[in-house]
Amino acid sequence: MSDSAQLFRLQTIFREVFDDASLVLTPELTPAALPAWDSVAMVQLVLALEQEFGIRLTTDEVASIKSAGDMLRVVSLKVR
Amino acid sequence: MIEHLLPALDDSALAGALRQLPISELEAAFRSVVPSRQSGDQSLVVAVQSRFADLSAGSREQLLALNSPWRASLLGRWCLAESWLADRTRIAPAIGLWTELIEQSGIHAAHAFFGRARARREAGDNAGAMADLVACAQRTADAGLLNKAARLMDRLLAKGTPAPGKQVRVALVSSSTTDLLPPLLRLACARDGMAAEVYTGPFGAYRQELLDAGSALHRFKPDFVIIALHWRDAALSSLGNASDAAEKFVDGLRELWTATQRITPCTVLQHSFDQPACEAAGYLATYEEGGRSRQIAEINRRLFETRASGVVIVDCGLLQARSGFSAWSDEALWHVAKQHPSATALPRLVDRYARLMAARIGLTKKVLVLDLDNTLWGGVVGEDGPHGIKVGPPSAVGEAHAALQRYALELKARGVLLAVCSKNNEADAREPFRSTLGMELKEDDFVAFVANWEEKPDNLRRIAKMLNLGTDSLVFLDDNPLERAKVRRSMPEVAVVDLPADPAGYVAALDGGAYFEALSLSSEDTARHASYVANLQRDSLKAKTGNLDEFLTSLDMRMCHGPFNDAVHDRVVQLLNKTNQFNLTTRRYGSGELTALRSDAGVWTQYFKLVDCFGDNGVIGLLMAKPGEAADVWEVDSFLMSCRVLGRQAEEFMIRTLLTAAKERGIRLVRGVFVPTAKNAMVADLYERLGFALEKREAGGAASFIWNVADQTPPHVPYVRGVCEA
Repeated sequence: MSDSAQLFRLQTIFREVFDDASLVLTPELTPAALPAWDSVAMVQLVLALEQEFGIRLTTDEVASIKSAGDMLRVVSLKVR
Repeated sequence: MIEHLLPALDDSALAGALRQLPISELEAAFRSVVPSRQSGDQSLVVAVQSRFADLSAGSREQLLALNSPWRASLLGRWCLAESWLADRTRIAPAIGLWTELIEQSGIHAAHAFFGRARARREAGDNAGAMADLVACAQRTADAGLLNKAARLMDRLLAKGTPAPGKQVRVALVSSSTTDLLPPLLRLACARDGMAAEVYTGPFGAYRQELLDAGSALHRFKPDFVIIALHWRDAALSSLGNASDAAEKFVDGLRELWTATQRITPCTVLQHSFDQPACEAAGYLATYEEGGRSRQIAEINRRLFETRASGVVIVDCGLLQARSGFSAWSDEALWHVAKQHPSATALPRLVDRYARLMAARIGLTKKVLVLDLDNTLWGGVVGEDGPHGIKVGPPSAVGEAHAALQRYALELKARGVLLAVCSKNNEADAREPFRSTLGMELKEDDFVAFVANWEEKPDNLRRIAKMLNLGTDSLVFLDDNPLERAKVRRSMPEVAVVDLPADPAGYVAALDGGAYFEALSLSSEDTARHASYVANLQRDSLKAKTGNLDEFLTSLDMRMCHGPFNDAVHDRVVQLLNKTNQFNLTTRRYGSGELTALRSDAGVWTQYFKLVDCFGDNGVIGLLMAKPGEAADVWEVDSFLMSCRVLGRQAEEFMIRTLLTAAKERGIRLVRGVFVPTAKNAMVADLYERLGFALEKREAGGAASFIWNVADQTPPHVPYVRGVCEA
């Protein structure tokens, strides 16, 4: 699956979790740049991402997420 | 190319295959396979939607072009509605499309309701969106969808759109994080008819919160306190625990409940304990007395045995077993976020909370109304004849229908009333109960048997009327989606069970709704069927005698009454919490509160049991009076009666008993109060009918009435003999 397709799917998740239909997701987006991206939102994002892509993240992978790009990286490793 | 393999897959396998398909083969697969699928299966819908987004914009446009077979298909229109919603330009047509999809996707309509909820909110129709979210929650157990629906519901609440239903205040204290649970709980409550306001205590600090009278939790004044603990909180080691570890732990919890309820009268929902997913001692943890599994089982045994008043034990062990051990616990989520149980198990847990709370405040159903053809048996009796229909062995389909009949019999044994509502000639409909082998149910298992060619909503209203119950007490089970849709449309208060195509799934569909959940079983429950049957016999006697005096005399009624005691305690709690129609004040008291009232010397209480020539009706009514503004004034705090005994002078007898007691105690004035609700209009003029004088009527319809003890004579009740049991 192409990276841009995954970015699009991840953007759909972000838009739903943050209730922002105009949110444009880039790999550079970090919690610091998006105030609503707190620890609760992080858990919601990870759970929604697991549901959407049908994957499970390890403790280590969750802990390693510091940006949208990190999420994409984890997803590409798992989705084949 | 695996494209040619796809048509052979069933819906959920196709969904899995689509998720894995490389993007280069995606468009071809979408063109060839997807349009022919008509089931609306949730996993397929989700897979198609998410992979649709992977297609190039050009391919998407081509697929959705006017007159393309894709656009005409169920899944195609699904994607079209999503895309209209996403670019926010065609919201009104998107709502229309979702409405079509809701009607066409049958038992898989949950996603379509969620879609329409989003579109309606986009259009500014927040109340419509809220209703759609409730409908969505009624139709799915999917954790991902429920989480999304719960988040959307919270956004509507934040905008001031109220949740439908009865207000309840719920405080949650937990040894896990409480971030994910409250939204799901609000959604499950709305589904079950409760608008829940949820307070969550600081993570892990539950003891302080419960024991400190000044804590935020107690200031919140909860109706329910959920103490959500799990196996880690029992602080047991794998082996070598003291043999009294369980006993001490449960004693500690009991003290916590007592202290909590002393500060705030509330119902406590206490978790029982799940088992750890992994156990170092393995089998020994169960085999050895000091083993952890053994002690957890002992804790649970003691919790259920305690039966403390006003405490409901949430059976987490069973919930864990139903979820599956591996699905219940998510170690990664615990380490990352201190969330337990897992995110996928949470919906099942909040489901249980909501059902137990609904049972506590009297929102559970009372009657199961069953269709016959292709519901209770396979086939159509009017065409196939009583010996051509399938029920019981040797037919496997017949076995499935017989299993539903056995389940219905077990419901009947615990106090649920059964009724038939069938489009049939009555003689045809009755014949299988008399002559078909393999039938588990007999005609006399039903309190109402309606078989005719009239519309089902009319017949459901007739059944409710025959039983003196509201139509919101009914659960409707029918294999025909059209009949279900008609009932849903004209009677939203009736619970309609969505049945799958395979009758083997009927029992699970009915069971999954937990419509009849109860917190205790009283002798009235087990005798309820007999009591309703006797009531119907009374009605036919009434029709025969034609003369009311003669009828009432022939009933030979005796009313046994006395102050509340231990023997009637549970039944009184039950009546207080589920009587809706003949209930003047609708004040709900829990078991603990009732115990306090019983020990208050200033409060006069009285239960009433009615016995007649057809049998014992059990406790059918109660009265409570409290001192008013002066010591010689009584105010009637609670006055309620089961509608089964309407028209038999029971209420006259009850008020006469109260007025006589008032006179004996030197009371000067008795004040009767009427507090209107959506359900109790039938008693709006009761006090005036009984001879009370109107004192004051407020704008909302609430009113008070006065009885002057010295000057007035209590009503004459010639047909009821009193037997005082005090």
